[in-house]
Amino acid sequence: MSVLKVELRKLAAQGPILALFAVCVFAPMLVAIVLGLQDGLPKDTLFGRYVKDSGFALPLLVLGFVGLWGFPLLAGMVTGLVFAGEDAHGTWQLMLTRSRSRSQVFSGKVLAASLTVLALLATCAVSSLLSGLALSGDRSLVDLTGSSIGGRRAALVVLTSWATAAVPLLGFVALSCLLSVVSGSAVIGTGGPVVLGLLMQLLALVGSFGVATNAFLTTPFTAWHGLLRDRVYIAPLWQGALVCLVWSIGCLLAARRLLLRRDVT
Amino acid sequence: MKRLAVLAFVLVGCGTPLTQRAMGPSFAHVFAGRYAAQQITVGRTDVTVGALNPQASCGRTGTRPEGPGEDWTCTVTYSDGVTSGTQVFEVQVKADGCWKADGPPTVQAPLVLDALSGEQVTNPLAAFDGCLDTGWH
Repeated sequence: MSVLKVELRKLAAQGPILALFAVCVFAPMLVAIVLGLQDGLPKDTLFGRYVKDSGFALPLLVLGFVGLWGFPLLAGMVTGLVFAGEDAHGTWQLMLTRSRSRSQVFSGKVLAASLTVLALLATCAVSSLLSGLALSGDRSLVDLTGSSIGGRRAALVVLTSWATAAVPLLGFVALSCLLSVVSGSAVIGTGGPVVLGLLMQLLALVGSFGVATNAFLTTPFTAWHGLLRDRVYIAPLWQGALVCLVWSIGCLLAARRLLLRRDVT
Repeated sequence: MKRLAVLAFVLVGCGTPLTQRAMGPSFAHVFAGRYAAQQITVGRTDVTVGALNPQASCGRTGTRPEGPGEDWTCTVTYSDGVTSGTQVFEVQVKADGCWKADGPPTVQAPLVLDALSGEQVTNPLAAFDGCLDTGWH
């Protein structure tokens, strides 16, 4: 617990983290302003065609878009900072020779990175929803079965959809944690998840893997599609959660093992 | 050897979820919702999704019968109590399971006159989106 507090305090004092929060707050606003200024609509992205009809479309447009590379980058930046930051400053020696066990240090760091990433996700979700409402008001939204959902229910579905991204996001935190511990480099800890995420999406795009792509860490980012319907389907949600759990446990166990055995003298 | 076997299992054992059997009902469902919305713009509020009884059959015009691609077409038949009709849409199916349908511009003009408000509004049937359940079943 005390490790968590220390780690959170360290994170809060870092420029890049504050910059990430600023991006999460202002990027959706910027998207809304740009869309408001021009006549065209981003019709190729889901809900793009309804951005000016309903304020609930923009947060879903943003969610569909940042799921591609924004979320892996977010997880990679925070986790890379938490772990590889110690390498960059040469402070593992200090960290791992204190009264806290290495295992406690590891858990505290993973927890700090996860909480920060979740806070960023929540910030981004709320900012996107408010930007959407400011752009187009709270008129009802055409969902993915062609019917309309309005008012409070639409807001709830939008926020739930954003919440489902937390699952693969934490999976990417675990992946970045492993890459950071293995490499000792913030560049790999940050860029690795992005590259691997893009690779998984590329393989999924090729289309020859069929339902095997459900085992990818990026596929659960699209599980929210099942919620925007009159008859909801949740198979991608719980299957995605299981997939992410397997990825996370695998990555975290390997990372923990490496950290416990690391020679810091 | 073991790894190869696993890879082969993954590649062969899992077909695409983007099948003709999945696309038909998904397309018909969204079409009905959008058709009802379109009828409201022309002043008919008595058309309900359930009563349309839409039936759609979808397929690809290229060499592959299924999977993601821009060469899907869906033919939908329906009856709204006054008329029954058949319409053909061009459909793009993406690898993530979501699809986008475009109505032929001669039949489905991008903008229509809203009978109730008198304004030009986007035709609900000009273009619309849906998604397939791509989970393991």
